[in-house]
Amino acid sequence: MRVVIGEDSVLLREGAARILEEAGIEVAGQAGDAEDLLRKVRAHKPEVAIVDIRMPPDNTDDGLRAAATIRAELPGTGILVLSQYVEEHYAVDLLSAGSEGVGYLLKDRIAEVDRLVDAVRRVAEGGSVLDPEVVTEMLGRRRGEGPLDTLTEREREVLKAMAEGQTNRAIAAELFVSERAVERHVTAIFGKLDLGDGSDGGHRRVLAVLAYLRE
Amino acid sequence: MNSSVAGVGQPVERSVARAIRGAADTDDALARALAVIGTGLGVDLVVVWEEDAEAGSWSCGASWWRDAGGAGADGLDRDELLARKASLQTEVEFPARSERGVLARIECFAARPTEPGPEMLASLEVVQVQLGQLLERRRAEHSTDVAFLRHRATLQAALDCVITIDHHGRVLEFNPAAERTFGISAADAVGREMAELVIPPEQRDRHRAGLRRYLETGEERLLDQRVEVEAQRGDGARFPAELTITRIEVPGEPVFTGHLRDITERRAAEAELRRSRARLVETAYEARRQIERDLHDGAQQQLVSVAMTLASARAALGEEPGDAGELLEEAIAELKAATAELRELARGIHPAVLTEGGLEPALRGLVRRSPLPAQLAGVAEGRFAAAVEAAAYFVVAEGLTNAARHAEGASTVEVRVQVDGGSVVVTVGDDGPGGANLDGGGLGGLADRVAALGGQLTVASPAGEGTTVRAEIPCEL
Repeated sequence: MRVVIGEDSVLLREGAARILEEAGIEVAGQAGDAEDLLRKVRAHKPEVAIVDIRMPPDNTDDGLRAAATIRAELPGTGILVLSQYVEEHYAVDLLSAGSEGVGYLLKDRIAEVDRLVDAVRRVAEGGSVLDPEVVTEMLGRRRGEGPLDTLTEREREVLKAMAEGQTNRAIAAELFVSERAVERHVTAIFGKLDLGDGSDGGHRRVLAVLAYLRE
Repeated sequence: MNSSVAGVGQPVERSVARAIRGAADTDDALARALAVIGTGLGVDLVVVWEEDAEAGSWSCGASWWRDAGGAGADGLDRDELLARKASLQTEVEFPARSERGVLARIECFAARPTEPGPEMLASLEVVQVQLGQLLERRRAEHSTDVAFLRHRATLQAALDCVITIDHHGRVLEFNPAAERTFGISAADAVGREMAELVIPPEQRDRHRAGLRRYLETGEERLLDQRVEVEAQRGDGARFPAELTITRIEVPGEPVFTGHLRDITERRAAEAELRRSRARLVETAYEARRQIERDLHDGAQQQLVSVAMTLASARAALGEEPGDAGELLEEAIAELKAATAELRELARGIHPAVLTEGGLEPALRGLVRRSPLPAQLAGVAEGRFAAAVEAAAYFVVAEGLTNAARHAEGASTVEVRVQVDGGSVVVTVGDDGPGGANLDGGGLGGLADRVAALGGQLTVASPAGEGTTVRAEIPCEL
């Protein structure tokens, strides 16, 4: 698999590149600003573009804008956005835009090798990735009585993992249960939250959960 | 057309003003004025009868007769006057008035009957005031009445413009400060309508209506209050002024005195003060942004980089890491906590999302993290000046923190940002018990910050009705 990294901090860019190379992912290009990123993505056509939100020239949301351009020009390219801060606004907008193969991670996760590599792979396969921190915040602000309170502890864990974009298999591995058990939990959760059918493990499921949490 | 009000074609009063300006002294001025009046009216003798209040009698204070081609300001002897009068008949009679009332009566005599037209009669309205001022001036020059002299001296020396008008709105008195400020001589001002003299054209009718309303109904809106108005100099230049109008208690028709001060400099100083305060806030804002940027580009990246190195070190130890592995994992966990803490600190200093996306996403984040359940009821669309957005953001942040701290029993907080009359209005209201005392909290500093942008921060916390923090910040700095 090949990726292009857009990140203005040389330290982080090189570090991320090293980690990905060690994990067997080819880093086809590295860019320090949004324009260079676009150039390199067009040239190398990687499976995934890793994009820092805040990059030169404007140092605002240049990365997001570059990501939108990439999606428009090369729709099959996975996008993994890195952000310094947890901004649900950006994260959920990004994932809700409808297209598959989009991820949003806190920048700190670069140091968590497994998580970074996993996120890149999932995005490459058309999956969705949402930083656990964002999901925690979304769940955390829920107060008072509501359908969410009827979930068991285990169901909440499964819901959180679904919101992060994890597949049933990944959830099963994380919680040390069988995939069948996860499927049962998913069905129970979707029933309690009145979300219809949750058997689809892909992007639509993530969207449904996010839309519910966003309310 | 009433020439004395219209301000054009005022031959007699204009000539009188010119005569007064060109005179050597007050007596000379009086003599020249009488000559202009006598000639203008086409009469042969003009006599000024001044009242001596103490003696209860009238005496001739000045006169003019055609034959002499000149005037006797000292007055004629009574017998001589009677002799002259005998062959003439009275044609016109009018008073000379000042702010103190009627000072003298002017009698004009002619050998052949003459009928003054309406324009002349209108002119006489002005002339009587002009003569009144001359008589006042002459009286002051010869007076030994201390109180009267003190009054005149005060008027002359006053730094404020003092303009006295009669019930027609005509200028009775125009002191030296007024002459300097408006660039109009007292001789030209006296007798003219004040509105026409010192008030910008489009505001004159309102002024006239106000005077009329007061005279008709006694309803006063302006009297004895300090108001800020726009005034106009003789050359048409306008300036801001502070004005107080009072009614002077004199017998007869009402007389009003206006004290007016040019506040151009004060206004400029106030504006500069406002600007410098706004600049301070702007500078503080920029400094905070810079700190956040430095943290973002520096410390935050470096910590992540260190975390990567630690992770590599941990990986290098392989399956049997031993004690070193445990220590490394501990270090990684602590570093993670430190990174999270630094992230919150940086966000507190300046939220990057505010710069990137404006108030809406930034406030959404605040509301989401609020310890008390909070709703964002509405955020005005569009972007505002960076310092305005930052102030609004921190008002909400502080308002939410306060609600969580003080509003025991509150179940929800509502945040709203609206644009109202050129201002951004931010409200943070909880449904708690109210009665909160928020003095000395973080709101004090915020109030200063909002005030420095020309806005205002208020806290209302009536018992039983919850607490509302409200900030109004002008959109334009």
